[in-house]
Amino acid sequence: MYNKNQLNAIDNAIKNHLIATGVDHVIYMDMSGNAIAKHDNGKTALDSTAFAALAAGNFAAVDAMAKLVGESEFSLLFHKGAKSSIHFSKVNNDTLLISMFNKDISLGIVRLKAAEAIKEIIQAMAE
Amino acid sequence: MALINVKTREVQIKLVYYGPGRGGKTTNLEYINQKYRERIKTEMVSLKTHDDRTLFFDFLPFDVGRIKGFDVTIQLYTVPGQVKYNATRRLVLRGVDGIVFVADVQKDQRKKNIESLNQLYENLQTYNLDLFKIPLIMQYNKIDLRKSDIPTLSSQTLQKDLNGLLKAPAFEASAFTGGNVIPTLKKIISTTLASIQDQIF
Amino acid sequence: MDSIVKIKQVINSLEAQIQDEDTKTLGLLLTGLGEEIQGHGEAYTIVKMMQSIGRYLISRTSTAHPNTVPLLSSLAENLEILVSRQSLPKREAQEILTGSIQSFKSLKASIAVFSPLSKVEIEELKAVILSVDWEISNFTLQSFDRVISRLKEKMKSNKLHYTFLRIMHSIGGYIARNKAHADNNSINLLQSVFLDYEKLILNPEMLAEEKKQMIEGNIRAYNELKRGISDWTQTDPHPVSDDEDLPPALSHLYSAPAPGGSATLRTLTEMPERLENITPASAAAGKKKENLPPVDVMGDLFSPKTTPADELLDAIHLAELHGPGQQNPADNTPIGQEDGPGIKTFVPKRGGETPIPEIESRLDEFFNLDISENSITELPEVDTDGDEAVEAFFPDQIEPETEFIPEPESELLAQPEPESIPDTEKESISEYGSAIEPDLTMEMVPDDGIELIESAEHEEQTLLVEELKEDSAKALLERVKTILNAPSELSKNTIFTQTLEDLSQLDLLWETDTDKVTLIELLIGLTRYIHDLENAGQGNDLNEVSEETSALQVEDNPLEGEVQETLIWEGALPSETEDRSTEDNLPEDEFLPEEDSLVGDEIHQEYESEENVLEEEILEVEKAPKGFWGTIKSKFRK
Repeated sequence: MYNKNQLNAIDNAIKNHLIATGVDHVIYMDMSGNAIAKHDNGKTALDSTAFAALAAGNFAAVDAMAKLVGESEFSLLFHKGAKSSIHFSKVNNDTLLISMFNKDISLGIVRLKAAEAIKEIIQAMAE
Repeated sequence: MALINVKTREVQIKLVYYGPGRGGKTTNLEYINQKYRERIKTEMVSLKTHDDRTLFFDFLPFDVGRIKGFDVTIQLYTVPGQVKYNATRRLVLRGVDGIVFVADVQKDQRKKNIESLNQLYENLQTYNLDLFKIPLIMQYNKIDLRKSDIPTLSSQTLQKDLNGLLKAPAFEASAFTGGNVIPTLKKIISTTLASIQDQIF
Repeated sequence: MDSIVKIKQVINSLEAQIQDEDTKTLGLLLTGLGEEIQGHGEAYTIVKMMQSIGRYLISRTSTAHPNTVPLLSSLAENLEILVSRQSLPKREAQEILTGSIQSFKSLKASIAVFSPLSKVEIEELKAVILSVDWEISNFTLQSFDRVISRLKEKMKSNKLHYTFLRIMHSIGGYIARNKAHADNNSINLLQSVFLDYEKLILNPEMLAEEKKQMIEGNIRAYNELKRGISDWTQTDPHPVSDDEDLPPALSHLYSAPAPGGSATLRTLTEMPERLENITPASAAAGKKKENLPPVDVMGDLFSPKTTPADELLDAIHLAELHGPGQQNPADNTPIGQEDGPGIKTFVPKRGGETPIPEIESRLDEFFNLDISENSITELPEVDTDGDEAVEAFFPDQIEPETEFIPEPESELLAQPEPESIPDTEKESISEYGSAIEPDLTMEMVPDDGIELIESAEHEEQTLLVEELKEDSAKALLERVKTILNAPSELSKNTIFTQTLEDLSQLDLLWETDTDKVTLIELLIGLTRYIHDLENAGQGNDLNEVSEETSALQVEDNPLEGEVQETLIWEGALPSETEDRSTEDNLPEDEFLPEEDSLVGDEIHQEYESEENVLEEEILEVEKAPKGFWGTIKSKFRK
């Protein structure tokens, strides 16, 4: 379970790296589809419960495909939309970080920022 | 270092206001100078740039009168806060007897506060002075910003960041409006004098 | 013709490789040739065309249309024919010319739709830019760099293309340096610049004006981005939140916090309004500014442009040596080292000692401007060193008969040397000079330092004659009191002189008792003053004077304790406010009567009560221990 400090650290990591950059939504969730932490920029709405559930499923499916093609996992799972896009990152074997962002932000940046956020989250969990 | 002339019965102590750039060191002195203009009587030397950054140091000397037969003169100095002027800061610290560390409560100055304090420790080391032993007061300045939109650090955070090991007396302050400026000053003077009182009084 | 031969030679070498040298030579040759055959009709036209192509070649060099040089070559051939064969029939010449013109026009058309970049090159550029959009890594950025650099090299003669490439290259460099911290807008801008560039390439027939506008737009956008980035980096690019864990200061020194009490924190609940700068002293000191005028000699220390002044500043601040003695900062004098006769230096240690009460009370007093904060009835602490403290306030030897020569009115720059130790009292007095109104000039009180005035030798004698003195003293005092009760009498010179004499006698009688002597001095001064006033038709300080005399009477039996009691003053005290503007402008013998009010702590200090008697000006000087009496005397002796 996560204690208060860890949750604070996770919140901060997400806020400082991703939300601050302009990402619309970020969900930190477990592989079962439960959201551990949710953040958004206050502008867009999202049914995060449904989203998290579907994301978990999506990730699991893609992961299975990876195994089928001989990969342990894919390093990039990204869905590009006309206006909004979604990026998935695996934090550890149990958790995922999902970022939803619009076309004002490049994927390259989101990937870098997500990596930074994940680094901090992992650090927080280790304590 | 405190200069004591037992013949003329005079004591001089040097107090330095130290801290990150734009933290309010000069403002402290300006407030003191303005409020006590009558009693201070001596001129304040203030070398500033066009946008009010301290160039070298500010200097405000004044007498507080007589204590136990000794005339006590206080010399207040500030240092330039900009990171690159450390050599000047070190110079101004020479012979310091007491320090007021003026920290900026603005959130985006958090790191600067810590770095400045760390550097103070090192600068004092070059004179074989120990920050843990020298009379020291912490001032958490710009407390008036708590009422505004600008994000500020809590005093708790500041204490933890800056005062956890030193455990010096700390004052929240608003140098611009004068809040707690004088109490800080009184405290540093009395602490500094107390540390040498055995020798004189 | 010679020139044509030469031209052909140059064209040959151009066919192999287009070089700047050759194109320039060609241009010159063609110009020369043009002058030569000016009247020649068809040949001249061909030369003109060749000149035009020559210019194009110079500007485009290697990026020129591939058909350029072949056309030049054929035109040269035609030219040769036209020039060499004089007898060529007109019709043939015309045909040759027409053919040349056609070829020329078709080249022009080709150039118009010509893109200097091949399709492959464009695709490549697109690929690297998209890859950076998708992934910011060393690999993608290096590829980007490679492609752009190559293209830049190729297009360096084409200003328009080159500029686009430069902008993109610069943005790419910025992203490479900052990676995760690169501004969002930078990648967006990179995209949009590329899109414009692509448009340019795919539409070579675009009007020059359009092209110009496009490039200008992109340059503008680029500069804006640059500006935005530099603003941003001036604030902390790594904003740290309150809760984020930052290693506290000095944590690298100790692993665990020192045991012991926690640091006291004094909060600030109420914040006073910023005080208006109404101090009269500052008004007076308007003659001498407190701060340097805001002449921007040095400029902003952080402005990107460096002026010679900035460089000098940096040299001063960042130089290794600040001056002699800086190199040995560690050479600290140990505690209590004697620097000179009677001069010791100490290094204060924060030993957690409580300051002696005298320190606290002195500071409270000094910093207390408010009257309401302190109880006026509080008796001063009886100092065991009371004598010392008391006499410390009075100069040791007051010589009432000495003529005091007032100093000329001048602004005394009170900037004492921090390290100096005034040898005599004189210097320290001058320190107070500056803030005092001009009419209250300081004079030097000859003084030998604060030592116990009452040398023991006098004491015996004093005791013996005391009784005798007391009687005469009483009488004198009575007389003085009577007079002062009716101050209008003082206008009469006889009475005035008499009173003065009485007071002088009292002075003599009590010469061993400094307190009394001081009071007498005051009375003398007052008397003079009243005399003057009365003659001028005004007079006010009656109460003060009579009370003063009462005080003296009670004091007939001088005891230390009594001194304090009698000198507690509860009335007729001008308030010490900051609004002293009127005083600054006071001519010499005038002052405005102030309302009676109470000044807080001054009262209950044993050595300060004398002040209470009189003018506001004195209170300004209140803490001037040595020069105080001098001040009063000078004030009254005018």
